[in-house]
Amino acid sequence: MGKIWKTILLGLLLAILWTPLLQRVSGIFNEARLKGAYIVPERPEFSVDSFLGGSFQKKYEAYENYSFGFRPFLIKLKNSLDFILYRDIDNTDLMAGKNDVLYSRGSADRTMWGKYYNGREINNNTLAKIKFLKEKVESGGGHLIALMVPSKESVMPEYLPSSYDHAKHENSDYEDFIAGYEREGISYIDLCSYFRKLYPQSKYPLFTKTGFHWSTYGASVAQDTILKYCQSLLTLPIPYYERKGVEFSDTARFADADFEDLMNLYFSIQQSKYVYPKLEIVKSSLSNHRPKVIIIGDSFFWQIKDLRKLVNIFSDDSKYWYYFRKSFPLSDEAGSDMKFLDVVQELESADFVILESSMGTLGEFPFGVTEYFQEHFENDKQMRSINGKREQFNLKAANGKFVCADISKNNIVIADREKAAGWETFSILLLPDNKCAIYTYENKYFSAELGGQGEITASRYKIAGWETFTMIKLDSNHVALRAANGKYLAMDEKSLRLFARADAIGKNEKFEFMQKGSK
Amino acid sequence: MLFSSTLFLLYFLPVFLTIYFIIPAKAKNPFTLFVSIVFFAWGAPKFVFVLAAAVMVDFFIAQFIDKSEGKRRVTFLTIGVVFNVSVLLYFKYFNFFMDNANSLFEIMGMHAVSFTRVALPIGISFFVFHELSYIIDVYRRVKPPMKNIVNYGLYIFLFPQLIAGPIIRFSEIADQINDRKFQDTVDNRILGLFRFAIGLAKKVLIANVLGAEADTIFKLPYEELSSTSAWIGALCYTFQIYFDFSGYSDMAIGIARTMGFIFPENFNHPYISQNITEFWRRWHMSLSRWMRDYLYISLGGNKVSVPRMYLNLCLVFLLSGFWHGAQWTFIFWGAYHGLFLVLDRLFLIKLTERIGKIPRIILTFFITVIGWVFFRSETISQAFQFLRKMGSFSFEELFLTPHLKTVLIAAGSLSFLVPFFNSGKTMAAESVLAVSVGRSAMKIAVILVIMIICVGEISGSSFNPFIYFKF
Repeated sequence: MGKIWKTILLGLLLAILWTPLLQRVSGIFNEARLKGAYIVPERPEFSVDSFLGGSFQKKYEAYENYSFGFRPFLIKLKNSLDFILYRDIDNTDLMAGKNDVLYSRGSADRTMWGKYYNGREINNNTLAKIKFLKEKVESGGGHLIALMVPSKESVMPEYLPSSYDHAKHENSDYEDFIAGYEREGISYIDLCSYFRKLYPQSKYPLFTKTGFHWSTYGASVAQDTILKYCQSLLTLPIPYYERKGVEFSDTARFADADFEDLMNLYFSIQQSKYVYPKLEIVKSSLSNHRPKVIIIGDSFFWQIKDLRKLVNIFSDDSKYWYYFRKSFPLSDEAGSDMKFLDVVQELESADFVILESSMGTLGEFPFGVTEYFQEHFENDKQMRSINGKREQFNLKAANGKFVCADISKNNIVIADREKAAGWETFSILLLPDNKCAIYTYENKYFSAELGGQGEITASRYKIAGWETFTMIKLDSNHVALRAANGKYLAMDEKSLRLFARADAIGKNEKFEFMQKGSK
Repeated sequence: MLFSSTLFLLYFLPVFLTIYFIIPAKAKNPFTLFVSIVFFAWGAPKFVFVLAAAVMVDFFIAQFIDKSEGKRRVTFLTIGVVFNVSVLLYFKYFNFFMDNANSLFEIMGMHAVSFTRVALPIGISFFVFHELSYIIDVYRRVKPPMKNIVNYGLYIFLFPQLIAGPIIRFSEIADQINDRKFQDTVDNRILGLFRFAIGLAKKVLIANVLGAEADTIFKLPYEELSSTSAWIGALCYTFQIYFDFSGYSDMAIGIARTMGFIFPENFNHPYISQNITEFWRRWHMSLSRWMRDYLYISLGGNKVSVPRMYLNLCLVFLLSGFWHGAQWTFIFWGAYHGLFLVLDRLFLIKLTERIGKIPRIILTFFITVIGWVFFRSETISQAFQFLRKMGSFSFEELFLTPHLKTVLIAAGSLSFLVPFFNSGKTMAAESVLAVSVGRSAMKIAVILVIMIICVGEISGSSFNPFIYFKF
């Protein structure tokens, strides 16, 4: 009798073990998608070569790891347990501070410890380029405004984890930029100091416990300030709105729980209600002058855009260039690729050019727009569209694979692609002294990071020493590249990544240069 | 394919077990051999042909040994040993020898020899040791050779032990391969799965967490390494390697048991050892037994002069270190343990007799931790730098996450405290007792909970979403 019961129990266990596979095949249950942005590995194509080489198996396991049945349930269960037991969050950048207030580790390290400091020379160089843009915008009758957005930890540091209790720093990009704006006469709005002052007396939270960005309420405060400042620079009145109180909600809207969403928990850590301002455009003001604005900024600006008031206040051809990677109208319409735009003309014709950066993204600020503008301003007008008229090429390494700037893996440069598409296409930017910079599809430059043992990454928005290379033509099809450290770029046979650490040109230092022709 | 991968846990395991349980006894060995070959080919498809060829060669060599006498018998044994050792030397050590020869040539002002690097096939060390065990056991007439190549192939390819052991001597398993119907019971199936789940938990919930921390610390540049972090790194690795390896062994033993195989134990609470000699009786026991039976005894064992015995001990441990990997760090680690074994026999065990059990355990643990630093480091000089930091005692405040703290405490408790409450009771002992329905239900519930948590952990650890919202 006992044996029968044990067999039934074992059968039950096996049946449960089968369920992920059955769900995977049949998809009987409708599973909710996990929140957050992530790249699901593609299902690899089987070939005898890829199987014998082992690459198929590796890719297939990665693919299945993202595809098996009931995965969202298991991930959420794991995340919930980890958070309950250890306050552990399975995200490299996310951390829970006191009272479970969520912070970005990278941003907090930058703000509190002064980590990732650009250095004064680079900041001054950036400021000089912003000044150049400002002069050109002003010569066309427009205004350039730099907007400094606070990070959560700069406004509410008291909830940071105790490892930040004694944090201090000598220099910071924020201080460099504010001093630089003053020195160079660049108009700016310092929302950091404004929010810090406002924080103790604000009726509603400027940052939510569960979000990375400012709260929707905080964004509305920022919007008020920006619009007042813009109006102060104009003689004609612009449309305006009125505040009609606030609305409370148990559930988060927009990006108010963007960090909590990434945690994919079965419960919410937010204890109080979310606050949403009610803003109403004054209809009679709609006939007023609607200036054109171009905003180049990071994700903080999304919440201002989400308030859906700018669309009535600024002209229809106004744009928001998200990280200078993609252009969005101020309406809810979809964005478009930057390459379809005449960037110089757009900037020259704007009434306002707003360069927005939060404290956490000052390392990338202003996201390549000033370099692009400076480079293209005096050039042929036809050379303006991004990635447009440059010499485009692919590089094939000694293993016969295309070199790829893989943004999904921390912008590593790796020779492992069978085909050449966007990430495998590069442009050359010629520099003085026979030097060049290599520009990727994602508008970043190749860099030979000496801190990373000369590993080549496609991570930089700016050209400094490490981003310059000398291209040596070996024959009609092959080139070698020498980095600023005097070493040649070589493909590492094990990892297939590129490193600048070869003293001589051998097999792995030779790359097939495959010109795509000008577009 | 790793046991701790979603592909294995969610697809391979349920499909294999279901078919294995329902097919007739006669079909079990051919089916398991087929699945084992698929399992191996998934990880090393090119090498499966080499392995199959080696299996054929050894199968026939063993037949020749069995049918021969005298010098002819020794000749066939020698051919078999040389053949298998050559396979190991070529696939595992060729690059190492060439790299070192080239370094030597460079020092002597000569040109380096260019060569094509040989890819290391997974499980080669275990595979060769199994092959050697087979032909030596046949030679010693411990067991007759297998008559059926499917059964012999199963001994070599049996997937639970193929990649990382335990190293099962032919004599231990030959009878089970031929007939195990008395062990193929529902109790063993439940106990096997339970053991597998325990191993999975050790690997995923403990070893992986500690491993991530150890990796971070061992990668730190020397200047950024503090005494505190060096100690934490060494301790994390000490527990990681134990829970990783013993967890994997538990999984192998567990799956084998669901199939009716009773594998020998591989670990027996090694960190409560009171000297290094005892440590090697508790750590990777299947390797120690293999080394003792096939190498140490072949060199003369204890029946030689005392200096020769010490030399043999050192040689066995040097080779044991080298077996772990083609790196000087492993050789150094082997020599380090060999030295302590000799010291144990000379005076260390006597010397520490009076200090008490707990101080002896602490001392042995300390020696082991230092050894692991050599084992984990990339180079011997890095190991010495790391040890210098550990010895500097310039302790700094270190923020350990609550998760890491909990896992470290759990690892320490399981290593040091549990053995005292669990003395002598092994999983194997449980097999002789019929498992009650209630206990079976409890075990199945535990298996389910562990599987759910571990699969979430495995899949979730690579899930690191970004905000990137609206882009």
